[in-house]
Amino acid sequence: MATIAKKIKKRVIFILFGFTAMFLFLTVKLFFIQIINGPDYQQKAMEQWTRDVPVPSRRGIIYDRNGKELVTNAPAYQIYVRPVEVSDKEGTASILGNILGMDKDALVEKLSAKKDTILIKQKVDSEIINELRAMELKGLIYIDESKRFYTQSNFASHVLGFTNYDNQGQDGVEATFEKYLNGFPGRDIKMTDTYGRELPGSDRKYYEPQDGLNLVLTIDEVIQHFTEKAIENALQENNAKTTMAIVMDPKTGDILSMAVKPDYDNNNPRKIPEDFADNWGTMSLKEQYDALFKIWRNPIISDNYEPGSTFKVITSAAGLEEGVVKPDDKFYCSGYAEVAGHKLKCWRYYKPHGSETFVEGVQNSCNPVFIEVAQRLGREKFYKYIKGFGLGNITNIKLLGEAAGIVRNVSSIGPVELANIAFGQGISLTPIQLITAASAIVNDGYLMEPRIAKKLIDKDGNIIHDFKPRMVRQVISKDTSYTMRNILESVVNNGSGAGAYIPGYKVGGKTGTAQKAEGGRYVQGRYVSSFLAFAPANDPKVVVLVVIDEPSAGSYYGGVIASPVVKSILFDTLRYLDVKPQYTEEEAEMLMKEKIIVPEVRNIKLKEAKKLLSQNKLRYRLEEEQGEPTEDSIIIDQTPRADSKVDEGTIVILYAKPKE
Amino acid sequence: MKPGKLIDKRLIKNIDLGIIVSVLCLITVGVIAITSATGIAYGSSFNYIKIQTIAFFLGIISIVIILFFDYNTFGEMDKIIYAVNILLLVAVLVFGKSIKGSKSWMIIGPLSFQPSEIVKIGFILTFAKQLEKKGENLNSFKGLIHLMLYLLPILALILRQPDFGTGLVFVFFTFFMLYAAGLNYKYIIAVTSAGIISIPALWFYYLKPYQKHRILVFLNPELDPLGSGYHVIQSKIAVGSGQFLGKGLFKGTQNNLGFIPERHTDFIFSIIGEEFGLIGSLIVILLFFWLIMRCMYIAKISKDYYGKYITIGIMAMFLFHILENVGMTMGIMPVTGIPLPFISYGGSSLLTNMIAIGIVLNVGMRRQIIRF
Repeated sequence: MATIAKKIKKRVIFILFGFTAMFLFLTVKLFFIQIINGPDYQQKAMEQWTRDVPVPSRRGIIYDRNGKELVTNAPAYQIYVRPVEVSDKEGTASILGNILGMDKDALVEKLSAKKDTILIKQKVDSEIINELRAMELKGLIYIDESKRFYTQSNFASHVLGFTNYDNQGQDGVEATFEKYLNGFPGRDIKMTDTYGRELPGSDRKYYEPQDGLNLVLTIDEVIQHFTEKAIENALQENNAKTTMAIVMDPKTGDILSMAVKPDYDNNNPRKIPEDFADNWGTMSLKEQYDALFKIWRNPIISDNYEPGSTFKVITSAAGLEEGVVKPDDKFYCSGYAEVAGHKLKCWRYYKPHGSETFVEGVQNSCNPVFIEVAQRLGREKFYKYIKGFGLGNITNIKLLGEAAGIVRNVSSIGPVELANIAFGQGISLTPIQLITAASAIVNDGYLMEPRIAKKLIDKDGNIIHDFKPRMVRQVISKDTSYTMRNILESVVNNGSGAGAYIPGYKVGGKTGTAQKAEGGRYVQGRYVSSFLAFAPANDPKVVVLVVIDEPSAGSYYGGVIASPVVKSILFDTLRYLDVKPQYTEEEAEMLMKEKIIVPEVRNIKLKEAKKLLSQNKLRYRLEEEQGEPTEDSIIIDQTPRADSKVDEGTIVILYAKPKE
Repeated sequence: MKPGKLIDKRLIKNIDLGIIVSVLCLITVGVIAITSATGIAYGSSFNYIKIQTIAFFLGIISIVIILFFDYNTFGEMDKIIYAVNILLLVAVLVFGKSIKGSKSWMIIGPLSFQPSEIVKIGFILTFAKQLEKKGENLNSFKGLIHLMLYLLPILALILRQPDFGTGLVFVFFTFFMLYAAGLNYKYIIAVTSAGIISIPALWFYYLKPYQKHRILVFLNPELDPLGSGYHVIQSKIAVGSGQFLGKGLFKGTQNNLGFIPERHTDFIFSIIGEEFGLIGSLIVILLFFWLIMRCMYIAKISKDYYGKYITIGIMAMFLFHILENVGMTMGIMPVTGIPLPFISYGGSSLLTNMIAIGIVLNVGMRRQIIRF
């Protein structure tokens, strides 16, 4: 026992040393952590509880030209989660899933992510946030942000565009004026706990964000409404693929309205398109984006099309300016023009126009007349004007994705090509190019850059920047412009544009019906109908272009389907702009007389229709673009339609079935 | 049992004051740290402090009761105590509640406790008796096997919960008791080698994936900085940022901002490190060192081997808790759910530790054979 006792005593002393060593080791380790590395850990600690939060700047408001709010900001929140703090992943996920309408499994994954913080959802409305806050869920962080709010959904969609989740402009003026609208974000450096709550009484550094500037557009909300309403009706009535319209002030180039139908809800631009609703889930991300891009695309500035007869205004202006043709010059239409061995038909080849003046040629939209004008010009001079009116170059409108049109190189233009271009074939342009060129023609020859934004103002209304109207060049003389306005007014008064006639408003214009080309060939049954108009002819206040793409409800003539749209927009707009009607004596007399109700002449024979109209003291004009009718041909369409109230002697345009 | 003239003045005079003072100091530090960790200064409820205080008074009562009996009474009752230990451990496997993956808690009405806590004391009392009885055969193979078999059922039941940390505590203090009892170095070397050799088997067959993960993360916390490494990284940041003087009571940013996990229980030392700095941490470590040294002293002067072995066992148990817990907060030990004695919040833990102190005081008090 004694030896054991001795042994044990020795061991106890050994243990004593061992313990001392262990405690010493702890002390040394503490010294290292707290003294040697202390400052590093202090730094790390500070990084953990100071939070440098960017403070989003308030995005600028977008107004129409009269100060009416089109786009504003609504309060919203971002929800983040700090996964380490969420102990009940399943429970929290199902609560969030219910309230936010999100997939529970995806949420569980996010709540279990090995990350400091992770985003759950953006742009959440404040009512939902209040509901979540009341539940006191651990680990959730709510960050103020704002949500873009388009005061009228589906309104000027393609002009305004939309923003992404980070409030950055993605399309329309939201994108092109991004750097002004966005402002500069500020910073908020504060002490927060592990739940992201701010510590009371802690140091806080706050750098004020610089708000974005407010943007005033040239768009007039009221005119935009007139336009939207008119083309929405046209879309429905004609069962068209797309309808679009622009109203421009020719003197400044201001876009007073620009509308495309169908459009989209700017407050929800990523909504699944109805056509794809059934198989959206099976589409690849790229296919989904392609479908959305199609909806977002603005055809007025992005799509090239062959203008057809509306292009004749450019041929005419060029011919008159160069002096190769005078209004009273005599022409002869034999139903076709022979060019380099090719016979190029007039649309009324079966019943040639015969002898006619240049003005009559424009009224009749007679192709051989324009072919001859182009030949007299020659390709170089003709091209001087084509280029001069800005075709083949972008107009520089401040919207995304502008196309330049397709204008072939002048050296590749042979006689046949030249003749085709004369009546608007073999050349493509965008609607914005056409209306800009047409505005120059009626604006004393001054080509104005199309203007969508008027000015930038700060929140107190001070002007920060004025986007002044910009004259690009003078293309034709004042006199030529005057002549063109008179000729085009006569087209509406006595010619194919009669459908847009409004007593007293001196409307001028030109119709166009173009067959669509696809893969180098013209496709039967697919048309683009358009109407280019302006008023009043002696002092144009507005120019209107209406384009109806692929109408499929029967009629497709620009004079029938596009003219009522133009007329409706013009009439509403001129009255709204307080343009005083200037009645001719004849018109004044007509006004005194009782209105005549247009009779229904469709589906009866031509001779009966003529009789019926003359009994009603109405004149008529026969459109024969599809071939020559006989007296027994059935009338397939008329404009104005039955039951319209018109003045005595108004021209009713008749479309008859051609002779077999 | 020998109740009797136990309130002898001479016995009371022999009570070790160092142990009492150091334990009271540690408990005081604990209460302050828990107050800070639970955010009472910022309006949180007093519940934790209430429970800790109740446990403290129950502890005082237990110590007083223990002091009435000669510790040898426990030795005489060793078979009963052993049986009760086994019963408790079986009961917890059957009726216990699973918390964080191990079935180690018993919940009876409003009370909840870990039976393995009290079994530690119970086992030390019975194993010390075995050592005393079989002391001579200790270095025979048969004797050693006998002692091992004595530990085995208890250890198996604990690992069944599974509570790896507590299992390690048992292995640790059992080893110390064997060593103190004079276990031959050749056995020590043999057992140590066997342990090292069995590591691969342990790794591949016994350890659960989460346990392996913990060990891997312990070796490199950056492996999982937001998962299990998060605790260690956050704890080191807290301790380190306390620097020399600390941030001051209730002023620890990592504490108040909620960055320290389990800060009123397992990671309470991080709070002390952060708010009281190196000075405060060293004072706590010195208090523990003082306590351990007093236990050693009592082991040395105890009148019999039974008392010596009990004291060594209890001291080793404390030591393991201290080294593992403090080491864990500094990242030199893997993270296990082992609380810091007298300081971490936890009623059953405080009560058990105080009972253990009662037994050590009992051994120290009866160091002289009293003649009447």
